[in-house]
Amino acid sequence: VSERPLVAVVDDDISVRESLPDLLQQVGFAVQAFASAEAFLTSDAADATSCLILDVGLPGMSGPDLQRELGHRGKRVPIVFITAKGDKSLQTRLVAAGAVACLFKPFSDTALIEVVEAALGRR
Amino acid sequence: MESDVEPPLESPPDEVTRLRDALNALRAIMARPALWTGGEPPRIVTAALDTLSGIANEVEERVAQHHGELARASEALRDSESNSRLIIDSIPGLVALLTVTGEVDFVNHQILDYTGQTLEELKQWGTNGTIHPDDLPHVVQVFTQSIGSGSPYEIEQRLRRSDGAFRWFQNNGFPLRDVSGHIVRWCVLLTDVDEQKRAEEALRSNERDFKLIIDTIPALVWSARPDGGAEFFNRHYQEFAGLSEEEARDWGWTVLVHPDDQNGLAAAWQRIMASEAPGEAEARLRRHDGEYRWFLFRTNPLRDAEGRIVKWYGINTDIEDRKRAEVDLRRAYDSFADGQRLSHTGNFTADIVVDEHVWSEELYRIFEFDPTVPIRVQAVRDVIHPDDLPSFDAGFARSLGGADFDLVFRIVTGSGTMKHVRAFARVIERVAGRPLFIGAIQDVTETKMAEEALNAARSELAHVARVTTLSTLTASIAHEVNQPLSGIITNAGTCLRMLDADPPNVEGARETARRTIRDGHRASAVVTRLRALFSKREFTLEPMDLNEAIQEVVALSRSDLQRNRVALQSELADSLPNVNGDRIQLQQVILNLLRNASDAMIDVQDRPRQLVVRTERETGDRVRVSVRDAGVGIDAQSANKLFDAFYTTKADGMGIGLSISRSIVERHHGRLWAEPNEGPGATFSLSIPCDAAGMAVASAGE
Repeated sequence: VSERPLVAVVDDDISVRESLPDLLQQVGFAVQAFASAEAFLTSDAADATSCLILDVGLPGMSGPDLQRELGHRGKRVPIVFITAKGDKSLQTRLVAAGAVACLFKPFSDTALIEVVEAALGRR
Repeated sequence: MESDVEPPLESPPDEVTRLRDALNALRAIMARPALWTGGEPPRIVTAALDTLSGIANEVEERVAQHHGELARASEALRDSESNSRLIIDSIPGLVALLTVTGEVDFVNHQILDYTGQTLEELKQWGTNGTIHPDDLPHVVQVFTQSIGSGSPYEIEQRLRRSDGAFRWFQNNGFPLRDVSGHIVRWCVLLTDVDEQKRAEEALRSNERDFKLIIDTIPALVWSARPDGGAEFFNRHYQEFAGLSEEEARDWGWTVLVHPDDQNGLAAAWQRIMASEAPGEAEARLRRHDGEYRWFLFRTNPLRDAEGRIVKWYGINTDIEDRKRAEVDLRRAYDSFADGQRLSHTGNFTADIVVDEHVWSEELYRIFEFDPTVPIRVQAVRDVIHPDDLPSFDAGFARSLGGADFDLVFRIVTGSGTMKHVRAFARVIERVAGRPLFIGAIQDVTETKMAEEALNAARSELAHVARVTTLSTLTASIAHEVNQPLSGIITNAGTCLRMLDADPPNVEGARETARRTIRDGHRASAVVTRLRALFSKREFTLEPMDLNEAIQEVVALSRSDLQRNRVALQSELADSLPNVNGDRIQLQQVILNLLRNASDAMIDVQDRPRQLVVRTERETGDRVRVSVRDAGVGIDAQSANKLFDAFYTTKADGMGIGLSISRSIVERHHGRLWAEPNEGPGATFSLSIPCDAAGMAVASAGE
């Protein structure tokens, strides 16, 4: 199991936390899901994560907040943002700030897997 | 009685006798020569004597003849005097003959009979009370003067009757003269004029009375010649006008007529005179103090035997008070009618049993009934909209029992116009056991139309507000919809991958399919809620659970609130009674309050952005919803302005949210207000009646 890279999913929406892990496990990743940025930061997964799938509009600490926080901590984790708000300028800003990608919900399974693999340097 | 004529002579006159004696003596001398020395008297002497004798004879004869004539004349005179006395005594009047100096010499028996006095007593008429003491001095004066001057007199005087009563007599005295013109007697004729005199006196007294009446009656009395020129004004008229009769005479009085009434009165007067019939007119006359007062002029013509008008009699009655009352009444009526017309309100009284009705003009106008046709209950019922007849009849029945009748119903008039009217009525008294209704009916069609137009505008505005909200909510809508969609797509993709695996992960696929379905429902629910919230629809009242409605709104707002880092706390009361409301509109209000609360806390960094939504039951069967924020708060001054349309504190706001919210709440017979918190922030609350109370309010408006 250990050779399977860990993908962390942080989203307050239950259906995302349920569906994404299934999909990612199905294509061979180890997955951990968190309902908030705070929960992720305080977990063991924070250090073990190879790729972070991060919701933008989280209650409390938002996705970009977490991105900055990780930057402050010196953790360079590839981040794939997902958002239900189709805001192009936000997408541009986030990518410019170092994110691998920003996907607008709803996105296809292949689109997600492509960017996750890209984040992991497999492609 | 003495006659001034000599009585007839029995013997020749003395001169003749003396002549004869002288002749006889001469003849005797001549016959006796002894005495006559001359012899035979000369023939000439005897002839002279014979001639003288002849003359004496002739004289004697003539004198005798003259005496005979005188005797006959004297006889005739005696006869005549006796005749005169007969005549005098038989005259039906009182006659007296007086001497030249005025002493009573003869009276006829009528005088004796009337006075009951003797001739001797009557000679003392100047002192014995025969003449009324009031008349005596005048009588004496006139009588004395007349006797002295010899000219006839005529006096009226009272003469005492034998029984002591005085009667009026006309006393005519005139002198009797002889052939040479000398007064020989006075004749006095006394004619009884008592009745005539009393009639005259009565007439004079009547005239005095009439004059008194005419002068004192409280009216202006006048008379005019047939040409219209005035000739008499009673005292009251003169005093009123401050004009003398001379000044007012002819056309002088017209200076009194008010300038505005001059032409009208002149025309009326000409018309009346031309008609030769009684007539009347009204005009203002100036009083002596300058004040004009209204008068009613009435005049009647007086005609002579030929029917020609000889005079106009008129009377002017002061009708100022009546006129003022008329003016006041007319003004009051006009203002009443204006008020009725302006307010489209008519009033009526109705005696239902005998079907007698009194309607005001405006009521006829509202119902478009012919004012000349008597109103019947059936006619009124005929124009009432059939759908409203049952409630009309029910209200009518209730009001017969003493309840007030207050109903809005529709009528369809003869012209086919439908009108909404509101009727108030009550039984005020019972006439002979019959109820008498008094009431008012207002045409509220315009109000009704305006209300509908206002409602339409309000719906329109609310829609605009919702659309405005919509644009700002697009992100959260997208979020709300995209979340479940995202789950669906991911699940479906996963499902396929599990099925494609070798071996296929059927259990996993089933699980992802199950979640796909669940998320599909979730998306559908979101869409339904959004569609309901943003659709434009009519105002519909229905019993609804406010808690449930609030939960839906909270669900829609949650992500928005989260993004603004607002912590929402719901404190919804258990077993909250239903309200009668328009669910969507009330949700609109609550959504608006939540968004405002969230916006108010956008710049708050130093404290939790706490938002509390609370429901509770108030006393008096009302439900309260309050939304409490910890934002910038409000000051007391702007607390009222907050609800004005287009008042906003937000850079991007239209300022219509709260004004629409308040109008929505008020349509629910509720109120919406804001108040500052004791701590930071403000609380917006709305309070609306519970369902049961709401129904009662709604029915009261019917």
